[in-house]
Amino acid sequence: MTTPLVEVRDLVKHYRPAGWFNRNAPSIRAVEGVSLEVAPGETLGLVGESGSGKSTVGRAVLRLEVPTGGTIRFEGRDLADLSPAELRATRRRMQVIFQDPFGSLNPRRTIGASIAEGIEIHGLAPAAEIPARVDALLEEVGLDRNYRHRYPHEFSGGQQQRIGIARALAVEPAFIVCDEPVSALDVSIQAQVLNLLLDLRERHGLAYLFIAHDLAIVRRIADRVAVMYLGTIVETGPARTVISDPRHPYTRALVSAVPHPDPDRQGDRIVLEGEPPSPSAPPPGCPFAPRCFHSQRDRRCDQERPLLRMVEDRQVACHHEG
Amino acid sequence: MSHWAVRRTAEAVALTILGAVLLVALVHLLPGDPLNAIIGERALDPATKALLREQWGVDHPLPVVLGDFMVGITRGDLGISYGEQRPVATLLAERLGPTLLLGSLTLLITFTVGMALGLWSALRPRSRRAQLLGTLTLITYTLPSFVIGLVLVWVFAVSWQWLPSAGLDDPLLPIDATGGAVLLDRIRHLILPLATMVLATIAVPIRQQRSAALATVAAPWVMAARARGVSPWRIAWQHVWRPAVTPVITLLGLWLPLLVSGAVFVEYVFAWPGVGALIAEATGTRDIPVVIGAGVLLVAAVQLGSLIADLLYRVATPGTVES
Repeated sequence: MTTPLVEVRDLVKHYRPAGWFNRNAPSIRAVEGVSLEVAPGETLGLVGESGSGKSTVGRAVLRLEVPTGGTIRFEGRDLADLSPAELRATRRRMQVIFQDPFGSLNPRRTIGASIAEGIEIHGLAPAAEIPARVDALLEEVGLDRNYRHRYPHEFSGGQQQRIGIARALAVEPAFIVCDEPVSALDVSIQAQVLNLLLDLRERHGLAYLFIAHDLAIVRRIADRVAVMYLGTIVETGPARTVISDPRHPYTRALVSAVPHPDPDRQGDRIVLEGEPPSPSAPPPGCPFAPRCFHSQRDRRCDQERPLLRMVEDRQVACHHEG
Repeated sequence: MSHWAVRRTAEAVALTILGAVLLVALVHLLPGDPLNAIIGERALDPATKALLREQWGVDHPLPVVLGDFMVGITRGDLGISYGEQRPVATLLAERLGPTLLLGSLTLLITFTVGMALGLWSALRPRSRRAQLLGTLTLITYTLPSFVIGLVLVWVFAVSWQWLPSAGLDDPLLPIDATGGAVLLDRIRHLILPLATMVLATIAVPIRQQRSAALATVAAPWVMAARARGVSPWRIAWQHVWRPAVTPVITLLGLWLPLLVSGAVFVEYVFAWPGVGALIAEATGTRDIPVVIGAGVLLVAAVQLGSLIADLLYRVATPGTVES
């Protein structure tokens, strides 16, 4: 195996509650010991429901949040060891695309200025060549070069997302965190933007950390997938087999919720009872135990936290699988 | 843009004229006889009274009063003050200098320092110092300007005797004093009223800028800028402040008339010979030409303020199309 581009070890992120009256309130345990790797050119899908901590992992990987614990290595260097200036220089190699296409763009700047900013601050082209670069980037993401002087509100959601992608590409990254990049778009537009991301991956050899809650989309783009529940990874392995043959009860429930084009082949949907436990007071045992429907579920599930173990071609965190 | 500017300016002029007409009409319709207010209890023979009434146009019908006023204003003539027996335009011109001096410095400091502090506290909302600033602004916002003024006078002028408490300059200053000495004297007289005005007003732009910047600082485009490696200064200026400046521009437009109206309480407390104090005196003595003259000046200032704010707004929000 090649050396990983991104290597996350035992990442922990806790948030202290804000405000004068919450000083003694327990911390919110958003991420509780997540390890993952992304190889150059590889796409890792990170799946889970709202509040599972998947976006926090994405932001911590880019060091937009300072982790409470654990290490993040990018191209072999621990991001925590870098000086602020070194970190800013490193940021050129890792980029982000957000869910909210309009909110991702500064409303007071032309899209040309937004795309050019990264090229300018990292000195990637002489000033005279920057407009031509911006034009080329706009064309690469399927937009007209004359749009350079327009403002974000003049575009549709899909176009805005393409602008956000062009802005990320401008600094020539090796790795992009895509944080739910298509979930705010119309379904017809989703496919176009997804295809664009696939094309760009091919052309530039990009690696993606693709965060999503929609397994159908992850199946299309990801090589491997990691399923998160309440701040931990419960199952991870090759995207194809994990999604076609899920082992962890939570993954099984997620997969059963994906609509199948053929209604006759749609399996029985597993409807989970109750809510996930509060991330400020997680249960001592398996985080999924309170909602688990596994036939062998027992007292051990309530007392002992299961660790990821190798099961055939993937890792599963369940006492009763493998 | 230029087409818009012409139309917007014409609108401001029309509104100023309308405002002036309404002002003259309203004052004319007020009950009470200004003559009595000025002459007081002194006995005057009926012939003299009638002469004064005619001379001051007290009994003219409204259309005649309005006509006279409009004709006068085109020649820069705002009438004669009852009390001072001097042209109102001259009186206003005398008072405008000190008011402009105090008002322009107040707005300059209040808005630049206010925006900087508001932005600073939005960038680190959970820090102790930002929270302390929030408490302090709440206190100065709650205190009326004359209370702040009196406290400052008590501390700096009465107890410690560091600074003069009243007027524009020292009447005992030698006539042959050098330019530097005159300037220093003027600055010493300016400090307390200026400090009072700034303290009384700065809480609003700080809080306005803070809340607007708190919204933009959490925006995804700011996180994307950090992810691109943009420097903290550039993020603060380009990505947090610029999209959050419009509410402050609106506030500036509302406050620009302060430049010519003066702050009545502060000018009164510090015996600052400005327009605000003049309005207070004229209202007390029913000096109607002065009240109207100052009122028209204010109407024009309000219009000019909102015109400038609209222009700034268009500069600050490029690309927005007019509906």
